[in-house]
Amino acid sequence: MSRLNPQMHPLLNSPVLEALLAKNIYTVLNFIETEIKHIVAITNLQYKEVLGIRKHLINKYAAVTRDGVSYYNEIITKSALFSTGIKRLDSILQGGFLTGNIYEICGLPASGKTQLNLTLVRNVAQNSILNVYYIDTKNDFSGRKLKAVLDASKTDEEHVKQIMSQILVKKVDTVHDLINTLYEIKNLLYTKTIKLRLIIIDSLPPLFYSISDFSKRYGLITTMVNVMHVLAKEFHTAIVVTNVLTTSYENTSTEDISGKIGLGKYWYNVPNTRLTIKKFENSSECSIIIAKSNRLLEGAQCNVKITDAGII
Amino acid sequence: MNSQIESGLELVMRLTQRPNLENINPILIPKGPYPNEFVEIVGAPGTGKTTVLMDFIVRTLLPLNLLGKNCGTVLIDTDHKFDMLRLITMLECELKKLNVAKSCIHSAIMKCLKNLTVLNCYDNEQLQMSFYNLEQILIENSDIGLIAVDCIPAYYWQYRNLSDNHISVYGYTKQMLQCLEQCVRNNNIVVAYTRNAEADVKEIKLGETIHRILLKKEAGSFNAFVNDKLVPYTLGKTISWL
Repeated sequence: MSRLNPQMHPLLNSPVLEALLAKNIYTVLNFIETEIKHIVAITNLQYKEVLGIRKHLINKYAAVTRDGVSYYNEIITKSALFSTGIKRLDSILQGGFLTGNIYEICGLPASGKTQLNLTLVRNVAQNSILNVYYIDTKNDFSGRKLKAVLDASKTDEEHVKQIMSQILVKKVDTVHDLINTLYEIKNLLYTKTIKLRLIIIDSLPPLFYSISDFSKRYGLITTMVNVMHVLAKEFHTAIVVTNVLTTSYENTSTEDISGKIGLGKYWYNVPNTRLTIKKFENSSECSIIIAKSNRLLEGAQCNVKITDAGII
Repeated sequence: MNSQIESGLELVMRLTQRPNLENINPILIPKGPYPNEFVEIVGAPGTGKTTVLMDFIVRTLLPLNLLGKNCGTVLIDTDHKFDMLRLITMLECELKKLNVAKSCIHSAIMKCLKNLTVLNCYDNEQLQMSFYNLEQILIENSDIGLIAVDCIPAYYWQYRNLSDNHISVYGYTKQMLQCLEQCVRNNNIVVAYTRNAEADVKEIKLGETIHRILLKKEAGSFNAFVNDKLVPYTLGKTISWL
């Protein structure tokens, strides 16, 4: 909520603001919601002046108006499709991860989620000069593991250095840390300090476990999701997050996963595409299924293999 | 007698001729939607609410000779499930179905997109400010016939936490709709919105008529309910009403 302040409009000087605050009009929204003639009575400004302030505030705080054609052109010129480097996965994703979308990879513990992320990071850094932002919440991002993936794929030493420098890793410990980091990224993109089109968050739910008040937790998730949407839509990045599935022994049906996904009901509906990854017993193979998508075919499935050189 | 003073602006708004959306989807809404009416699309996640809304948008944008309404649409996107490329695909499918020559398809799509206005919102304040901004947008474009919102309760949790006000989802949704209703009142426009909820959710009543489209997924097949009438549909590249 934006609080009214003198920088917003020259007519909002301190006597005017004090008069408004005395009538419980604190925020921009309070101001707009109040009838113009009331504001006139409270502030002694002229009707026309209040109308001017109103128009100015609405223009500044409402969503940007875009017409369909320029919006389409913006999407066409700024979108990017990242191949995951895994042929079978690319084919069910119709080419790879597309900017403007939030993807979720979920699976049971140790089913290959992080390995999938590393493969993706390697592939994007190897084939482009773009940065990749890797947000690590579990404190287990390992440069060695990534180097192992690179070494196994026979990349020469110089190139390995180059690739490693493209990857920005940030460790976060709390939800607030995470939200600040996302705002920081927004700032970096706004000032064009980094060339970033892919953000990975591994993994989302542990941060939220510590917040027991569920209304507060949902509020924080919404705040986080709002920044994610800005990054995805306005700055044309693809966001990949990992989430956990929990199994319950009583309910063994595999059809309904809504109750088993970490972070609860609100988050359930957020990702544009949800992939579930499942490891086969006693084998290094796993299957990846599109569990939900607004764009791709739901239920599409592929089998991949986990190796030292990442997932193939 | 109940007399009311109206400003010149309100008079202009009330008298502006806007495109008529009657019979936009006769299967779902046999009578209407008439000017100033609302269309609610409600259902659980994964039942295709956004797709149904996009279907309305497609029908509004297409030219009259191609079974459309040839008028403008304002899309307020809060949920970010709307996909521009998918809208293009849906338009393309419709045009192909109507045997439009291949060479004309691109220019026809561009013509449709010209009539679309997109407002991307990222928090509650911006959403409400955008509602207030509609007045200006509607005055500037007299050919806008539909306002589409996907979806209304998106910022519920944020609002509830910031306002320290233990409002229910139902209460919040109603409050937002009343704000929207207030902003577009007497503009002769149709508002279509999605609402993410289980199908048995309590109905919301506004001053204007609401056509309620209830989406349900039952045993793997999709059904829409309008006033207890059942319309099965399938989701693919586009939506097909059976």
